Amino acid sequence: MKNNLILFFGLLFLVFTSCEEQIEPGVTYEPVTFESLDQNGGTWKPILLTNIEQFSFPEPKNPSSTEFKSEIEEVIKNFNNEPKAINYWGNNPLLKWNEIARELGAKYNLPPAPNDKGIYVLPSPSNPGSYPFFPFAHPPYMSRAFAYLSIAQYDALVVAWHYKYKYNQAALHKLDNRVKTVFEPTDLPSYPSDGAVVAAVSEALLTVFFPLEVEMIKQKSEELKRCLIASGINTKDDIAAGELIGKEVAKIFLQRAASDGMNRAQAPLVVSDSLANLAYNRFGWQWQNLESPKRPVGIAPLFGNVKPWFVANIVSTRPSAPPAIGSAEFNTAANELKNIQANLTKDQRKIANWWSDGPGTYTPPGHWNRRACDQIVKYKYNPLRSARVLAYMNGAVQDAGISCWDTKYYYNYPRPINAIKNFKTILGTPNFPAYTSGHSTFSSAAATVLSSIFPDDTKVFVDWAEEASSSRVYGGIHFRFDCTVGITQGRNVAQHALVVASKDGAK
Amino acid sequence: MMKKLVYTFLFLTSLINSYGQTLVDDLTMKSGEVCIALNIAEEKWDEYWEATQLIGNQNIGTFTKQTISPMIGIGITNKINFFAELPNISTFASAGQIRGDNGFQDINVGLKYKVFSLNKRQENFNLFVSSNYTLPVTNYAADYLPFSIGLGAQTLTMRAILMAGAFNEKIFLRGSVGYTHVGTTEIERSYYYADGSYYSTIMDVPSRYVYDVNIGSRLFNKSIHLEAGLNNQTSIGGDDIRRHLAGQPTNKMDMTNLTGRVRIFPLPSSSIILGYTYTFNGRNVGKAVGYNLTFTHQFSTKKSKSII
Repeated sequence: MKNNLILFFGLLFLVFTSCEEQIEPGVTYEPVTFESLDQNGGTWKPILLTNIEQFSFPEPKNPSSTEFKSEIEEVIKNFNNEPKAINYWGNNPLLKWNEIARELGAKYNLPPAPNDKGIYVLPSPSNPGSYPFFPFAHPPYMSRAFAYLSIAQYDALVVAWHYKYKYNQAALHKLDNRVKTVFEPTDLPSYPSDGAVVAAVSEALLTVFFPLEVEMIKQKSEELKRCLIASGINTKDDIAAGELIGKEVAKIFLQRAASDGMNRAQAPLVVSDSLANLAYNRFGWQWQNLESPKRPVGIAPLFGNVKPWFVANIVSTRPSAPPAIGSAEFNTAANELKNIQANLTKDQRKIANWWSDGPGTYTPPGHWNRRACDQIVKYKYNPLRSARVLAYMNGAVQDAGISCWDTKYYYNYPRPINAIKNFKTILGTPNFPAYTSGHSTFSSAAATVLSSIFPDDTKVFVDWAEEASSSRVYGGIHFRFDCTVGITQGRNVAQHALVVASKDGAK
Repeated sequence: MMKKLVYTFLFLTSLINSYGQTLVDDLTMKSGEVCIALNIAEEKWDEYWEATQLIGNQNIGTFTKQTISPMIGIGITNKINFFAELPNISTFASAGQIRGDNGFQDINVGLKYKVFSLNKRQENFNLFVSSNYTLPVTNYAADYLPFSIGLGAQTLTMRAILMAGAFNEKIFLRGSVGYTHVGTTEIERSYYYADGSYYSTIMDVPSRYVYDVNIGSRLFNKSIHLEAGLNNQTSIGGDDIRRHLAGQPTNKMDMTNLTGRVRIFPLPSSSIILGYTYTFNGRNVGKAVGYNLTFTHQFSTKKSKSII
């Protein structure tokens, strides 16, 4: 009896513990065979760069030279010497840089806590390591970080493609049949290394956006460059040339970043108060933070003044005013919220949580970045075409954010918890005005760009955007009109990106 | 009789949690004996450990968790007892704009087996092993801390319980050590950060070691029991709550509590228990003070004379 019982417990335990799946960190992108190499990619129009031949640039070494031969020997000698890292980076390392950016976003998306005296101190780029750490990677911050990263990657890869086909140095396995490749070999000219371009440009930008991560980012970049050699794709010379392009292009983007208005986005109290007063005088309402202690200034009141990528006049994308507090239209929206919170279904709860992407996560721009990366893998896009997807999407998403933030602080519209008495929610109310919904605007812009590039999947993207938008109503933190107007606004803003994309020479 | 038992069980499984543990440890039933119990508990905290830092949060104010939990114990044989419990939990905060939650949590079923027993006139010594299994019975939001009513994971606990009494139990000691294997929980998002990125809707909830030591006395012909104890739960692995963020089920949740209990027997077959719990040390949990009130009634389904 005793032995049977022990056996029984033992078996129960074994069955129970062995049924569990192991949850691994990170995301795995299986290497693909690229659907095309876009040989004319060097003729595509970059987004920021005006002259792709502006950098002085050495020619590739002659394949019959001794120098070149010794570099080929190095490639052969190091073949697959870091299988784990090679597998990590895969054959489209730009996907991994986006994953790194998303993770840094999640790591730094921490709203500052009040200090012992109940005062909120802001993160400072000049002293990033003292609490609160710089950056506070909130949605506007991340929309901009993704946009810079992706557009710089894209422009730099256009330059790389230009020189690849200008010099037309054959792929290494074609030059020497002893060269083995870890991934499906391609005919893409090896000089300059597109992987090194991506490594250098990503390293340069991410270290500016996340200054406390310099060491980690540098390590990743070095690792990638070793892997490009060890997977039989590039020589040292290819990599040096790629790095040069990446660094030069990054400089131009960092110059833009230093003067795009972001350093003034987190406006001081006087500016924030004057925006609220202006709205109060114009409309008779104003938003205020209800946390305790109260946060005196919302997130990035002047993000609406940051320089957009594709929209010439951001104010022209500002929607008309929301319904007056207490109007019939307002009451309908408020009653909808009360009804939803009183009878919240499990499905509504799940949708609210699914798209929440709140503090501590990669934010809505990160969510869409992830989905775009999945699409790129699904359609087997080469690095250049991958970069183009992300450049237009992330650029449009930032523009949508700028337009949305301009609207938010222009109208300074109250949140449901401000306007409805004793209203409780399942999501935390964000620290900025309600109208229009950031989730709706970001998502709609992303869905519009993705639908244009992957028309077969349009319904999926549109449904996601609609769901992300409604999730804020279910969460109790937005009125319905914040969301529906945000969807239209995001779509309109994204049109500006699509107009540019339609004329860039890529099909 | 069997039918009546099944009905009683079904009714009672509509209530279990950590308060049940002490009761389960205390109870021993002979073959055919049944104990039904109802536990009502409330715990409150206005400070919690964010990692190891004790802090308050004005957007929560005072956090309250209320539990009502029916329980049944059945003597299958003189040495094997079966237990079941199902708590219904409500949570809410005194400040801020976030809603609490409420509902049935996890059903807890367990077996306790008397491995060794030595009973003399004045002294006794008993050793038990127990195992209990918990399973969430409703689709509550586990990733909604601190308001979630549970962690949404299955658990399996193995424990050894030792009881020793002297001077006809005027002094007794009870202690246990155990290991709780905690499974995974499904969450309503597809990405989370836990010292790294996880692209998954599944969170691994840390398993934990538990132990407790209790000293007590049974007075006035055993009609009053007094007891004081120390409980500890230590998670194996898990991450910390990040600065000024909410916790999540992957967190390392450790705590050490002091407990006090008075159990009185108005009738030989029925008891009322008043309990107190104070969490004086912890990590990623609230610094909670809790009270609980339990009613128990024990009866035999056999036509035997002796009860208890």
